Amino acid sequence: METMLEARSLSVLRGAAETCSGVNLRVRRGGCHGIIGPNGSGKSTLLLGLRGLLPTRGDLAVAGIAPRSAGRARMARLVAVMPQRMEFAFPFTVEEMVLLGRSPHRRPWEAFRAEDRARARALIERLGLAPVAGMRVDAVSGGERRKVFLARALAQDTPLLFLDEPTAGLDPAVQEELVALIEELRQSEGRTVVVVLHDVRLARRLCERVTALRAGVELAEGVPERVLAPDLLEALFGVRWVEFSAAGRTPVLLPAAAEEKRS
Amino acid sequence: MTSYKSSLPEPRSPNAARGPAGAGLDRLCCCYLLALVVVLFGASFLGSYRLTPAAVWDAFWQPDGGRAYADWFDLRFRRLFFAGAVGGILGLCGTVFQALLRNPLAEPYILGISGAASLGSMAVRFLLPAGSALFAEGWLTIGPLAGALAGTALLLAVARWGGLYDPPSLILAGAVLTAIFGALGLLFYTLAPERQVVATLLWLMGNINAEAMVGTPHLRNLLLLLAAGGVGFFAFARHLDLLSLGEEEAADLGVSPRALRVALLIAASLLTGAVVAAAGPIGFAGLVVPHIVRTLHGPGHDRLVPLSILGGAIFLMLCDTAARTCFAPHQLPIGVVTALVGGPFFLFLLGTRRRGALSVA
Repeated sequence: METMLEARSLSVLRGAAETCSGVNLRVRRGGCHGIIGPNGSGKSTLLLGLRGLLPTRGDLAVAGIAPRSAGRARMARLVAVMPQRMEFAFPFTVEEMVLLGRSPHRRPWEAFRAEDRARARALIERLGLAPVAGMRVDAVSGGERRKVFLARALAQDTPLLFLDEPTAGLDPAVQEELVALIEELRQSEGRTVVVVLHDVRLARRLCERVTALRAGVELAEGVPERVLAPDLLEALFGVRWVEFSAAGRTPVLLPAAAEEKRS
Repeated sequence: MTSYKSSLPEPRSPNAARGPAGAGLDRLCCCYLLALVVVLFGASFLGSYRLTPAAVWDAFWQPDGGRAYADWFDLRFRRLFFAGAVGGILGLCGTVFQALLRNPLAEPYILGISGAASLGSMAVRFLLPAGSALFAEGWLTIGPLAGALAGTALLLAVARWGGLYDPPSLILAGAVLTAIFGALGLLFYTLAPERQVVATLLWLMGNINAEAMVGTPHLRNLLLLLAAGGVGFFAFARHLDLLSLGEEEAADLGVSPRALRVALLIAASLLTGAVVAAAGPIGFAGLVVPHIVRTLHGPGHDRLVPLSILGGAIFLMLCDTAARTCFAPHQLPIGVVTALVGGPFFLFLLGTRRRGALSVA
């Protein structure tokens, strides 16, 4: 079983301060590892550290390479990121934005080739963005914009994908589309996924293992059945959780206030 | 491969925002070049006194060249050519600074580089005035260049000291440095002879002056710098695109954003310093031209770089023509014309951005 990402006693530093500490995780090729925690717990900071954008202490290897010493060009061919914040100063079109994902495969002065454009168009088709391919990214809907940034990450053709809250702000139908796509990427293309999530239900569905962070410290790491148990979730989020079961359905955990409202 | 249908109804309304139509870059460059040639030759026959193409053509064939031809070539054509070279560099620098700072309102002077270059020029004019034992004409070029480099170094030092590499902080640091350099400039005004103050003030308003500036060395050097800068920045056009996405995104797509930003800042600052040395600080050209080109042809820097050079050349030739003709026989400093055009344009941009923000809210 090939290990694509391994961290032992990892701390992520912002300046002199440790904003994230004591993280241990190992992700196999084709696996999916979730990072879950309340707002401000250091999930996105951990992702920055895992891909070498922030200094770290402890052991860290991405496909056997230390990210900080690998160089940005090499890391961009190993890890693609779907960011949480979709910021851009100038409104590229959807197709232009997706095509930029091919940049790590070309030298700076080298123009994109026909195969790059074909790859971008194929991804645009695959994610249902063809009707808006010629539109500016700031003119499409939030859900479509998330797909654009996912398409750009996929265009990098990397073995590892880091997805930072990919379903945030999306309606249920689009959430299901993205989740199904992530599952297909793992199973059919063998991509390794590290995903930051707030949604406990999605974490249970997608992830083989989960790291729970609270106040920058790893609270637990392991299989979802253990890490996403009601008692640990209560320690993580500070609210009581109740398991709700329907006949023949996978049990669902809900915050107790929501459950009380239902009953 | 599974296809996923968009969860939104299709097709989209034709009124939805579409990116600019994609004419080929070579076709666009040809159009801009044609416009440049038309402006260059057309504007060369406009001025405070009448020069017709026929008179210039007849004078050209005279054994001694003829007065009409000499006036046309030396006072107008070369001056316009010079203005075009200056405008091309300003357009290029504006494009690069807007990508560096991820802000379409940025221009070459916002980081205090022109203030520093101006201060260098004033220092040379005050400390080594014409007629003094140490004076040499080369100092008038070295002074602004050294000032631009020193201003860049100071900006980078301030940024490094405060960890302020993000664009809003760089802009703020630049504004503060501009104020400081301006205050130091006032010191020169106070101490310098009145004759020098007047000359310096005129220079500070921008100076496309055929007699004083359109010497072969200045124009040749500017064209060499423009060619080198244009080729260099065009080669890294995609890096400019990535840098405009943000620091993390650029890094995730294979760029070292901090190192790239410093390298581009130094290169663009040198170009800015050189153009300030040649023609004084001319504001707003670097703001207006890239913005218009981006609106017409999209934000991709593979188009922005060459078209902003050509557009900047056309813009400044037109401004120079207006400076020569609007109040003929008086000639306005070109910086006055670019400010009269660019200032309202800048306010318009601010207004449209504010309205856009309100409509989103």
